[in-house]
Amino acid sequence: MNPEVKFGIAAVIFAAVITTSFMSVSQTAETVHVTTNSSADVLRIGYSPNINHAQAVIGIGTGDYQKELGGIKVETQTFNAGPATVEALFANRVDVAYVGPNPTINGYIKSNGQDLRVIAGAASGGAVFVVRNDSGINSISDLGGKKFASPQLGNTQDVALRSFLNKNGYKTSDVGGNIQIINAANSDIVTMMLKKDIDGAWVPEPWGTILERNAHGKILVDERDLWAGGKFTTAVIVARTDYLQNHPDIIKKLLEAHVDETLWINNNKDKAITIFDEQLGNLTGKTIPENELTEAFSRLDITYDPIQSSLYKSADAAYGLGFLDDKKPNLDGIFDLSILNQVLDEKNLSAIQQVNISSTG
Amino acid sequence: MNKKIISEKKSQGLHDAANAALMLAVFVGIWEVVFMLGIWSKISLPSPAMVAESFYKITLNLSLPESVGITLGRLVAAFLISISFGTLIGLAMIRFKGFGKTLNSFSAGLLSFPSIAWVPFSILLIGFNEFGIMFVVIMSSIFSVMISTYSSIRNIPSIYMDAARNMGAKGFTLFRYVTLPAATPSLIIGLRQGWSFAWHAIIGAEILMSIVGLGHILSVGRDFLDMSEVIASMITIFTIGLIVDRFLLYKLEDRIRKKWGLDHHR
Repeated sequence: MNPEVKFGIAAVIFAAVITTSFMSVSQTAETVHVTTNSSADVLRIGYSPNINHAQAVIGIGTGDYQKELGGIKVETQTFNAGPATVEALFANRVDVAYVGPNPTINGYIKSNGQDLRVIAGAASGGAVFVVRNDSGINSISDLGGKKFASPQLGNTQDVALRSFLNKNGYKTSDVGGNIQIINAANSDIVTMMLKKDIDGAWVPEPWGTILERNAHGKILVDERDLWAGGKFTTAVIVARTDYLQNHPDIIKKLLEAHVDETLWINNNKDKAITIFDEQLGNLTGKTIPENELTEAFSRLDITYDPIQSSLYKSADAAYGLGFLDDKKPNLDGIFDLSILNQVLDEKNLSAIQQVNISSTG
Repeated sequence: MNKKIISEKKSQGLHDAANAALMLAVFVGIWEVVFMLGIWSKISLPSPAMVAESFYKITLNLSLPESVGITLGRLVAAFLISISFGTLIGLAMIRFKGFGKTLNSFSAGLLSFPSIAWVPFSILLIGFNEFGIMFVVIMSSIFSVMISTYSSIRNIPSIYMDAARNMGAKGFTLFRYVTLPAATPSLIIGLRQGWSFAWHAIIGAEILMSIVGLGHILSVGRDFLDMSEVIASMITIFTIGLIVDRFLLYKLEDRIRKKWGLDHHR
């Protein structure tokens, strides 16, 4: 085959690809998902070994969840971060997941509102703005010219930090201001605090407690003070939409287990902390000193309420910071609390009114 | 070279380009077909068009050009340090034979030490900043330069040295006009290997600790579930690596080989 022919064939293939690209763009996206992986007998749960996934850590580790799900096999997978969890959900490797609100919002938007639903809350609160004792920061007016860290660009704490700074009249370096923000893993943030490379950080618990006790930090802001009633969601349960539609009975059993675990944790705080630490050790090989855990838990609410208004507000804040594409986020239909409310009703607990605001003004 | 050889080289180039174009087209074609079959969800595997759109977006808002500039800047700076110190240490290894032998053995272990494994140490020792990243790149590539310098010079046929000394060359003259040129073909190969390690290292280091750069774009793309951006940055990384290796280093090596008459595949 001489070169001209080869170039010709190449050109034809490229032209075909371009044509079909335009075709698939104009079709509304209802892609074919391979759902055969999730059989009717298995529930695959994704979660992280974090304190705001306490129900999962305790419930799965102690076997409570498997007991409640009976003949349905519980398979689990742990993740280090929310985005990876949502990735796995979409790739059909898990069916439900405990995950933070921001990766949830991203996933919902990226899938055009199709592929996931929030079916319950898991935790509220548990994030703090810690500054170094010797950073010279004694109040909100001392933040200019400083360097702060958050766990990940665009995550819940990152959005909280940037919004907080903006609200108080500061600007970050990427828009010509004098405050620098670095994104680093929580453990690296501890290192940087100790080395005085940063002046403070907005982190989830238990890292807030760890920074305070082990890295000479003090809590400047408890994020609960910034939200109505001190409540804002920091973990929810999401389900892949097709699984939710095909197996509502299994989802119901899961939510029963989740609600039961939530109630138990709230009624047995001390025991829960001990068991959580034990399970954490099983999952990660490391434990946290119980007094640190107790302090961390004191700033956190284990709940089943997804605190919908806070999720919508988080999305708006993320959008305002440019993290969510150019269009205002449309989160219509992200929540499906119908099965949760069935479970709550059967347990004589008050239902959670579903709040559908397409995009708060 | 006469006209026939020049036109032969040109048509060879044309053949290569045609083959490359065809291979690329087939790859993109298969990708589009797999995408349309919907085996993976759109979010996990975007289409070629979606990736092209992502490319366009990050080029337009300048984040891609900026990141390429920053990444390459860090890389070149770190690599130059690697080359300078690596060569000096390599020469010291020649000069002090015991030191040389011992360090050579150690370096063999550190040669293929995974670059990411240097990151936690770098964060603790240097810091979570530009120098931390450069440290990772230096540690990943310096052993390659060291070993390459050491073995390139050791492998010079002793007859060159004997002949040169016979003609009165010694000290710096010997080094500059005999040792260095004789070692150069082998040194260039070491340089290519060191570059390869450095390139691996910088992307890994940037994913784990950075605010801007190519690795950062890849990492951010993933965090925001933007697979198109991830793939676009992967393609950029691949292209740069290819261009530098193929069109810079390979050509350099080629020229030196020809100059030395080592080009057996005439």
